[in-house]
Amino acid sequence: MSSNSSSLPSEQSTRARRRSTWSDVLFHRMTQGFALLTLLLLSGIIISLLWGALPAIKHFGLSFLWQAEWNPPMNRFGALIPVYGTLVTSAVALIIAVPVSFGIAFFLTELAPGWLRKPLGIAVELLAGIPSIVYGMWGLLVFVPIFAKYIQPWLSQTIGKVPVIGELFSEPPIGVGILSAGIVLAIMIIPFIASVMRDVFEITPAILKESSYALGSTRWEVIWNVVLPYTRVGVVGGIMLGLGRALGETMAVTFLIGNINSFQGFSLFLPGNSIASALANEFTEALDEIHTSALIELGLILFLITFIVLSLSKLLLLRLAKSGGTQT
Amino acid sequence: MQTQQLTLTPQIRFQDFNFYYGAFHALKNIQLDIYQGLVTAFIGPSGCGKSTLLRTINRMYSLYPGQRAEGHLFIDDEDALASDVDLNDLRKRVGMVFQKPTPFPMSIYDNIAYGVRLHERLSRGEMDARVEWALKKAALWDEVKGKLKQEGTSLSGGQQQRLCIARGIAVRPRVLLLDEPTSALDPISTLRIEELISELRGEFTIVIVTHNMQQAARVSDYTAYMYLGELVEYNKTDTIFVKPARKETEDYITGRFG
Repeated sequence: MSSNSSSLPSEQSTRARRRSTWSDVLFHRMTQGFALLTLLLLSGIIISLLWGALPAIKHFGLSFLWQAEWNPPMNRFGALIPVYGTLVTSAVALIIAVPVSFGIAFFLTELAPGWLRKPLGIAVELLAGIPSIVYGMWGLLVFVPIFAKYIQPWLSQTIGKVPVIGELFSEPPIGVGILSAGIVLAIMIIPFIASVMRDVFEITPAILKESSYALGSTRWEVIWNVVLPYTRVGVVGGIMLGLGRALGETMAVTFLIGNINSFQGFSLFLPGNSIASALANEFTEALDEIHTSALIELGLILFLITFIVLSLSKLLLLRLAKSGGTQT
Repeated sequence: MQTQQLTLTPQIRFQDFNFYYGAFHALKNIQLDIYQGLVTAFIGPSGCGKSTLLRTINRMYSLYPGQRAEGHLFIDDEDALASDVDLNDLRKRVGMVFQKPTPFPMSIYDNIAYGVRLHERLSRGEMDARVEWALKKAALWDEVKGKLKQEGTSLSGGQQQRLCIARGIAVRPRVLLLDEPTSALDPISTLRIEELISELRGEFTIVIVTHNMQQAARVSDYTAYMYLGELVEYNKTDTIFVKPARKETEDYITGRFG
């Protein structure tokens, strides 16, 4: 085969080795470059956000964070309403989505008959593929009317009567508002959380589950006491993935939250605003520099919130690891 | 040595027992009595059905659709294959230890207490006593008594396997199933497990699957040789290893086959 019969075999192998080290170095540098690119992008985004937000930061100072007024004509801006809306809609979404996703994952890995697992799993993943604008339209045109006509009155009649918690379900049922946005957000993040949970439940070694069954555990006890602790890192990761998406979700929330920049009470039936939808709605209409800058500062705050949430989840995992880790 | 002192009471009885993985006929017409308080070993080449047979005793196969048993299996004179058997209760009476150590992701203490909590309500003090008892039985107490709060996975492989045995013992089963319990362990840990099996003999009925014939010879009172889903020969371990009745058994134990 080889036409180059004159060169000795040892020489050939040296050359081959040299070529492989060279390509190795190239590969190393390339991947290193890609990895560094993320750092570069991250710092670039932070710097440009800070730069853009600088006029607003200078003008309003820290009080931007707790000022409730958002008044473009008067050029008075405060972040409280959108920050509140973002946090509360995401919290509502998580409260609904986490147990439902856990149930879906539990059913798919432990209970569903074999022929049902595949199609159901694919259906859950397809749900994740629906564009958020479609969720927004569906939410506004289909979900909100039904929600306002049947579910909200029912909620007021039942939970609304409970002291303290009832306050959250007290206002007239108008459909759009923080609760509707939170529920549709929950539907949007369920596929993410559920498919991550299913994946990590599935990688739990069968022998570990069998060990628990062998002691006389029920399926619930196996999942709750063995599978969940074993997969806690993945489960928390999945929840954080969902939360990250809920915090930043723009289109669907813009359709459903009502976009009102004033605080009228703690009821979840009330309309509000979120950071992402405030940006989407106002960015193109912002005329004054200070308005644009305030919006950019909102973006910066959203970035910080996401960062804090991520850090908290890492901290939680560290503490979980420590509580079960080496201590004497 | 102690065999003579114990009266032979059959505790687990297979009668006309057949087992299927879907369409595959994995166990064929098994007739077998396993005696109370003794150590019984299942030996045979890979795929002969020895693990399958072991896993029918605690109905582990019921977790998996498509696996089914026919015939009769009596444990303590109760029909273990009946559809109304409480599997959680059956598995409380029949403990199991697997090929690989499988400590749960929790502390050493909780690993032992886990199974007990499923079946009994004990006070703090009673639970402490039970955990200590189980760990002593499994010859692990002296090594872990100062670090019961440590994660079970922090122990060495051999210690983890003894932890799993302690976990099985803690619920006070009558039968202990060991599915190749030393296949993932080093020789010294293996020896410790074998010593442990000898110590537990008499108190529990032990059924052990092993691919290691010397191990079967060392630890068991009775040995069953299986091949291709059939029970070829079942007798006292001494007889099986010294004077087997069947040519196939002799070929296998002398290493001419398998």
